[in-house]
This record gives sequence, C-alpha cells and structure tokens, in this order.
Amino acid sequence: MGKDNSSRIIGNIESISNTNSLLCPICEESFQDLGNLNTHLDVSHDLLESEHGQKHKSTSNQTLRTRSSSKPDNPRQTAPSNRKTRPPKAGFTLRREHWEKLIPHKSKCQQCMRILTQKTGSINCRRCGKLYCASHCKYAARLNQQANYDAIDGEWCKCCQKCFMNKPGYKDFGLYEDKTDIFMKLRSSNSQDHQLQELQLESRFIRIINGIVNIHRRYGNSILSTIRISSEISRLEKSIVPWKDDNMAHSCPLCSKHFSVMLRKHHCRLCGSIVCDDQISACSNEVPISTLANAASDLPLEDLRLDVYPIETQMRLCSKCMRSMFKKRKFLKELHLPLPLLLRKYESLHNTSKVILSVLPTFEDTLRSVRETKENPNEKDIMELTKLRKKLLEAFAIYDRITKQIMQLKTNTYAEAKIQQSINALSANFIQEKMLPLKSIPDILSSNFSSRNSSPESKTSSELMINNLTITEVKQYRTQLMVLKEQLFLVQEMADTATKQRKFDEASTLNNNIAEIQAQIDDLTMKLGEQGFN
Amino acid sequence: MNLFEVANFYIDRIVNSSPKNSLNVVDQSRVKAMLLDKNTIGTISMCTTQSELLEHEIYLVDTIENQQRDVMRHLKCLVYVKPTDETIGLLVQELQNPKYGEYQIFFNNTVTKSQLERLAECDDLEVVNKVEEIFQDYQILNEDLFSLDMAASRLFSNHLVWDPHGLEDVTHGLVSLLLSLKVKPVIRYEAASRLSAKLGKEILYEIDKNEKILFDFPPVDSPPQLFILDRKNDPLTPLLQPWTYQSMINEYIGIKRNVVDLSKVPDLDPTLKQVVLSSKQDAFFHDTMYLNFGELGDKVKQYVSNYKNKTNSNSQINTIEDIKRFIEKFPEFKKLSGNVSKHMAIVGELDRQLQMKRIWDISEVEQNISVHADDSQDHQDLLKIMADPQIDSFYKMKLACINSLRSNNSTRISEIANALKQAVSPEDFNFYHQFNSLFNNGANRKAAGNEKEDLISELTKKFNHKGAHKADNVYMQHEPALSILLSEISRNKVSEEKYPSLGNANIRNAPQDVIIFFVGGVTFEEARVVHQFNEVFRKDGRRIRVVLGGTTVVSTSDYIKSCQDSGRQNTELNDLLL
Repeated sequence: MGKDNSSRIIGNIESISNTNSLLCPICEESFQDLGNLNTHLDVSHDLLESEHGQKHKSTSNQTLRTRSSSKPDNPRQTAPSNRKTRPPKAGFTLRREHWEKLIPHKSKCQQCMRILTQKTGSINCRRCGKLYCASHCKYAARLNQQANYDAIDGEWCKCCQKCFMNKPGYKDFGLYEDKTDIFMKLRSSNSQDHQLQELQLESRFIRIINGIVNIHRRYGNSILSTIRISSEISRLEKSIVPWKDDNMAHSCPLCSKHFSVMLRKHHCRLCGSIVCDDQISACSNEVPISTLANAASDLPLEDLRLDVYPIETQMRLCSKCMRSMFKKRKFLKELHLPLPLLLRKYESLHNTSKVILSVLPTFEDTLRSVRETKENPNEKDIMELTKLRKKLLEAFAIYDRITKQIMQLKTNTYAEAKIQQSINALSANFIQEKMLPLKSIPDILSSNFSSRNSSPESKTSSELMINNLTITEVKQYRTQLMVLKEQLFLVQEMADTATKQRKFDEASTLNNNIAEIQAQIDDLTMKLGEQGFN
Repeated sequence: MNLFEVANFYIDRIVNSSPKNSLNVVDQSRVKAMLLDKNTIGTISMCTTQSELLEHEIYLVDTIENQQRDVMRHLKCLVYVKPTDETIGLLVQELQNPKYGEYQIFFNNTVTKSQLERLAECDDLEVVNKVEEIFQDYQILNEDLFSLDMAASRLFSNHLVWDPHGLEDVTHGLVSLLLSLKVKPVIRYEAASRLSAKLGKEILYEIDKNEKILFDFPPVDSPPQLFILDRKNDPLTPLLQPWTYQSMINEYIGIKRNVVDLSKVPDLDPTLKQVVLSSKQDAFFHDTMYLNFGELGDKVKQYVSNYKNKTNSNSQINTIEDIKRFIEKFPEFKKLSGNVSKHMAIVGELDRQLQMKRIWDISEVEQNISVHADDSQDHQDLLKIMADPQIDSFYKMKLACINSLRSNNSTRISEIANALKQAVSPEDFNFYHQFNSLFNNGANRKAAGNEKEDLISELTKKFNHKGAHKADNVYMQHEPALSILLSEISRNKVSEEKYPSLGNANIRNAPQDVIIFFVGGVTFEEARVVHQFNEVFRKDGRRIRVVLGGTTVVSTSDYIKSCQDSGRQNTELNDLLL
C-alpha cells in the first residue's frame, strides 16, 4: 500500500513539478521534498491504510493507474477536454477533511447506532463524512473532489442512505407550468381592439344621451314640445353616427334574414348599421334611455332627472352594441351585489370556527398541564381551564346555532342547496372532531375541582359578592350579553336586507328573532344592573 | 416515486391556489366551486375525498359538461380539466357567459398555444386570473401502480397496429407521468413488439420536442429507465385466476375508480351497495391488498375479533365513566364498524363466488398446466374439468387457451380441443381458434427460448433469495414474466437485445428509478410483484424504485374480451405502412 501512496505522490509531483515546490494534493500545503509530503499525507490525511477508506483507495488507485500508464508516453499533453484521462491536476482525490474520525469502542453507526467494531466494519460516507457500519453505507452517488454531488463528471462513491436520498432530483416530483402570463398576454393583445371599439361606442353614447337631455331641457316647456323634441333628437342621432343607406341593405347582418314588409329596417343609434327588429332573434330593441343611463352609471352623463317630467325617450340599439356596451357592466354590477344570505351566514360561521380554532390549542395545553399534575392541580390552571372551556362551549353553541340557521334557509337554486348540504356536512364533522377534548374535561373538573376546590373558590367569591352576583357569574353574564349583542347585530342586518329585497316573510321571522334576543338581553342587563356595560 | 405523494402535491396546488392578481376586487365569499370534466373527475376522485375538499371550502363540485349549472357570482371557481378540444369548447362557452366570479384554470396535461388563444379570445370579461398546467393525465391505483384507463378496443386498430388517436392519447398520458415524476428516462422497449417500439419512438419524440421547456431537469447520476412492454408477450399472466385481495376484487366483483359495486350481491345491507376502497384512505385495505386469500382470511378474522374486543369492552357500560369513554370513542367506532362490515361483505362475496364457480379446482389445474408443461396427470385433470357440466364454459375455454399456450404435445392439444368443442358454444370454440392463431405461432417458436428463460429465472430465484418466499402455494406457482425482468434490473443485467434502448442513451449504470409500462393492460398480480420488489429493496438498502402502469388494468374476462375484439378488425394495408 505504501507503494501505491508513493506512486500517487509521484503522479502529483509530475503534475506540479513546474512550480518547483511540492503541494499536498489535498490541503495544498507546500513541502520541500517528497519524504516530508509523504509523511504529511500519512499523518494529516489519514492515508495510512485504515479500515475505512478502502473503497476510496480503490477508486483513486484506478485513476492513478490510468494516468501512470499514460505518463511514460506523454505526461503533460493529456488534453484537458478528454474525459477519460483527466488533465494532470484534476486527478480524482476526494476531499477528506470532513471525515469523522474513528474512535475505537466509541464511534457509532449513524443509522443503526451500533458501536463500530471490526465485525460491523466502518466506513465514512464520502459525502457527509459521518461514520457508518458496513451494511449502512451501501448506497452510491457521483461526487466531485469537493465531495459535492456532481451527476455528470463525478465519480461513483459510497454514501449513506441520507446522502443518497438527498441527491438532487431524487425526491423531486410534481412539475407544473404557470401559463398565466402567456394567457394574459394573449388576452390583452386581443382586448386592445375591443377596448378601442368600446371607447368609440361609449363616447357616442354619452353624446347622444347628453344631447337628448339638453334637447328636453331646451324645449321641454314649449308648446309644440313633442314634435320639436322628436325632430331635434332624430337630427342629433344622425349627426353622431352616419346612418347606413337603406337601399344598400337587403338582409339583417346579425340574423341574416331578408328584409320585407313584415321585417322592417332599423338603424342602430350607436353603430348606424341597419338591423331588423325581429322579436325572437332580438337583433335590435328600443330601450328607454333612463334604463340605459342607469346601466352605464359610471359614464359622465348629465342628470336625467328634470324638474318638470321624466324623460321617456327610447333609443334603438342593435344586440351587438348592446353586448359590447353593457355585458361587462352588468357582470361587474352583479359582482358588487351583497353576498346572498347563505354565504353571509357562512362567513360568520367561518369566523366562529376561527375563534374556536384559536382558543383550542391553549385550552389543550392547559388541559395537559392539569392532567399531568392530577394529584395536586394548580388552582390557577383550573380556573383558566374552566374559563377557556366556557368560552369554547359558548363558541360551539354559536357555531351550532349558525349551522341550524343555515340549514333553515330556503335555497333558491340547486347550487345553493348543494352548498348548504356541504356546509352541514362540514360543520357536523367540525363539531364532532373539535368537541372531543371538551368531553373529556368534566371528569377532571368534577373529580378535582368540584369536590375540593369549589368550596374555597366559592368562599373567596362570596366575599366579592356584588349585586347578589358572584364575580364568575358577572363574567358569565357579561360574555353572554356580548354574544347576544353580536347576534342581535347580525340578525338586524339580515332583517334589513330582507326588507330591502322585499322578502317580507323572511323579514318578519327575523324580526321575531330580534324581539327574542332583545328580551334576553334585557333580562341579562337587569341581572347585571350596575355591573353591566354598554 | 410514490404516486400518492405526487397526487397530494397536485391537489394541494389546486385547492390552495391563489391568483397572482385578482382584478375584480369585490366582497367575495370564501366558498369555492370546482369544475371538473369527465376525465379529471376520475383522476381526482381516486386521490382525494369529499371531506378533504370541504376542508378547503370547496362546497360545490360540478362537471363542466353540465349545462344547467346555476349562476353563483360570488364564488371563485377552480377548473381542473383535461385539455381536449371538447373541454376547451365547453370552457369557451363558460367564459363567454361566466357563472362564477373568477376562474382559476388547471390543465392536467400540456395545453397547446392555439387552445390558449381560443380561451383568451373569449375571456373579454377578464374572469380568468390563473392558468396552470399540472401533469396528472393518468389514474393512480396504488402508490406504485397507475393506469391510463383506456380500453384496448380504442387503442389498436388491430392487435398489431396502433390506432393513431389511441397512440396519441397513450403518449400524452405517459409523458404526463414522466413530467409529474420529473424524470427524463432512457426509453427501452420490448424488441419482439412493434406496438411498444412505436410507442417508445413517439415518447422519445415528445421528450425531444419539449426538452428545453418541460424536460429541463437537472442531470441525475444514473438515468431512470422506462420499459415499454407488450401484454401480448406474456398472455399467460392475465389468463390465470388471481389470488390477491385487490386482484380478486377486480376479478370477481369489479372495481372502477376505487368504487366497488356490490349491488349484485344477494342479501346485503342496502347501505353497502357501493363502497369505496382506496389503499390511500383505508388502512386495513392498505395492509391486506397484496395478501392471498388464505392470509386475507386470517387478517379479516383478526380485524373482526379486534373490533369485537373493542366493542365488548364498551358493551358493559356500568358506570358513567364507561358511558363517557364510549361516547368519546363513538365516531371512531362508527368508522371502524363501517369498515369492518364493508370488508366482511366483500370477502364474503369473494368466497361465495369462489365456491360457486369452483375456482379452487380450476385454479389448481390452471397453475399446474402453466408451470409444468405436458404433465399427464394435469392432462387428465384438465379433461375432467372439460367434462364437468357445472363449470362455466368461460373457464373451460380459458383453460384450453392456457393449455395451448404451454403444451407442445399436439395429440393432447387436439384431444382438449375436441373436449372443448363438446363443452362450449360454437362462438366460444371459435374464439379458441382465434386465440391460437393470435398467440401460438409465436409461442411455439419461442418455446425453446422460454425454457432457457425459465432456467435463468430458477437460477435467479436461487441466488436472489430475498423476494421468493412462496412457491409452496399451489395456487400461486406461476410467476409473471415481469419478475424475470425485475430481477434482471436489480442485477443490471437486462439484455440489450431483448430490450433495446432508443436514442444514444447511456444504459451502463444500474438504474435507480424504473418505470414499467404495459401496452394492452397490466394485472394486479403484477402490481403485487412490483410492490414486493419495492419492499425488498426498501429494506435491503440498495434502493431501486419501480412504478408500474398499463393502458388499463385487466381481469381475465377483460383480457379475453380484448383478444376477441382485436381479432375482429382486419389489418388494412395502410396500417401496416405506418
């Protein structure tokens, strides 16, 4: 083996002889002569044949052998690009500084935790350097000289399971490609034309509406107003968009039916094209301008409400212009409608569940600590526990109530009914799952708390009687009151919207609810008296 | 390479997706709707549950094909569809008249530029705020088994030639699997099969085409390998009666998308008409799916007695404490009792069918024929079964087919054929001839080679002692041909002649990740072999991970049917010129 070492060193000397000093191939310390370097290698880098390191030795020996065979021919001319015979300086020497030193009778295999002996064998994982027994270092990975992963140029080296599994790409899965940007780009290039058209239509629309309003203002009071106004309006309409020639049109461009005595020609006031007024295909329609102005309330239109009388003028629009003018507006408007009752209820359900989920961990923690000190429970903990428990129970009660309210809602559509069912399934699950720790509580409280602790507690609290109420009672009533008030607020809101939406039967039941809650609140405030709060 | 992990990752991406920039700032509900299509509803139902979706506030699940959906403006909609032209058309309709407030679209495979353009053009309300490709255009059955769920009749214009659309679908499905596992494999195909060679080339073309964009994975030190095998080269395995739990359910009751249909079972509780069985959610099934019927019986017994013990301890409710404890555990009990009765029902039905169809007798003969060719005792047994009027003609026909595959003795074959002729209908007998013409020319030619393989596999069994603990079971003597390949893979000794690779790939290094794909359908028996292989290597240390898949999962009757179908269509000259 010593021979191998020296042959390695000779190889290295060959490679660096032009610098005239000897560098250690591992730590690059310089040495005067070969003997010194040799001892340095043996001592500092553990190259004396030891039990671990066999594999490494054989790989490095291999690379050396190939080189030493090529050396006599032409040692310096091995092309750096050639992969098989590496450039002289890149003789494969794995970094070893990170290797864990083997301490006899102490070092353990990192995986099975057995003490490493002659029998188990001991190998350093080439990558992480930790020690393993022979059977737990059977994996292989390609590493470069710095003992980092290198899938292309690295050499196969032994490694441990952990390093094997941490190889880049080993645990990798689940490719996905975000196409949103491409989609957005396609969409925006598409929508630019649309937007231009829309702008044009909008400006015409504004001019027509405002013109009509002005005409009404100017002539509204005159005697021949109706005649005057209609002639003025038709003049205005033609001035804004050139009407297409009647004689040129033979069929409706939208439904491609031929015009006839029965199917009359009409001009769209926004684009000027000639369309039919077929009732079924609805290629064009006359719409009161007040409706239109309402639908496009975001545009700078003049106020339609004149002092004298409402404007009843109608305007003919083709279905195409109608769509490009109002489809998006309608969609946005619908988006801004308040949430339907079902969804609004769900929001409050969700908020309650959030409260429960935020309190539950602290509750479980205190519960655990109380359980651990079962013989001698900490009084503060128990107080805390009861408090939290009460809070949770109340929250659950609210949760349950909201669920019931949701289930009682009348659903208008199939989708709503489905959502209702889903919410029901979820909440049943939620209660079943989250109530569990609460159920296990009473035995702790009753066995420890009520038998031993309740009397001193009541004694202390009896000293603090206010208004014939104990402090705990006051607290309890206060929280109840808070909950009720919140409820009242919610129900009132619901009732308001119900009346707004003219669902009177709903509103009346809600009002009944309000009355009930109000009665309870009154009752509680009575009890609390001065201790109540506003 | 655990497929369930992949599925979880993707589902997580869908349900937790948040758009980059929400354009419509509105008072929105937290409630989400989910739109699926007829393809994704299958893939997603096999890897998640209703309650998992509920937890993510997805309260409305519907299909995009359903035109009668209600408008729910305040809901966000998650769309998860396969990018076929049909669903793109439906999506276009949806975007023109949106029913929900905003849309996040996920495709389960690559979407083409023109499809994206079509969508972008009709989205003038700008309701779409996310478009993403994820890659799960396949169904996950076990953690190491997938299926493309495509029946053979759709895929081949006859048993030798791909139908162009079928080939395209299979290619896309497999490519999506590769992408989801993030592997860029060396493709190896079975040399004796034109179908697998063609598919391999097609996949290589797809990989090369998308090398820069999708298959841009960091290099791995030993490239994964994809083996494309042809069902036709191992017709024996899908013909034999299976004996593991999962495969028996598929064979005798039928399981589709994890749903077992028990409605035909006599005297059963109506709540058990349709039960869901998934190794992902059902721990008992996960533990028992690969066990054979005998082992399964023990496990079920244990499971039931376990359950009884638990309930018994609670049936003596004397104190309030007991009541409390019972109530606390009640949901758990309910779950457990549901599961127990489900498995009891299934196992009971399996047992009933085994008895009724006399599978025990049939399977024994079947196994003997397939393992020892031309044994005179087996021959007598076979003739006895042929003459037995109580046995269904399907099994007689199948036995004759197996015999003709394995036997080289022509007088015995004709003897069996005569017996079969008398026992079954002319159509069935006709199929026997058809089957022979499909396979036997090739099989006889290969007979010599087969024996050699057997010799090798015997040797490998001896040397590679780890996986082989059975062989003493009469009903599971036959080893699928796949196990030979697996043992070759484990020793890095796969013949390059039998499994040539495509492209100039480096296959010297022993592979660490292997994907095996069966054209024409895979069996659950083979899934068991792969599972055991994976288990052995997990324990042993040198890890090789294998994922198995097929165009579909076949039972014996499925396979016979696909053979019947493949004979019906005639080879056209055009097909051969492809």
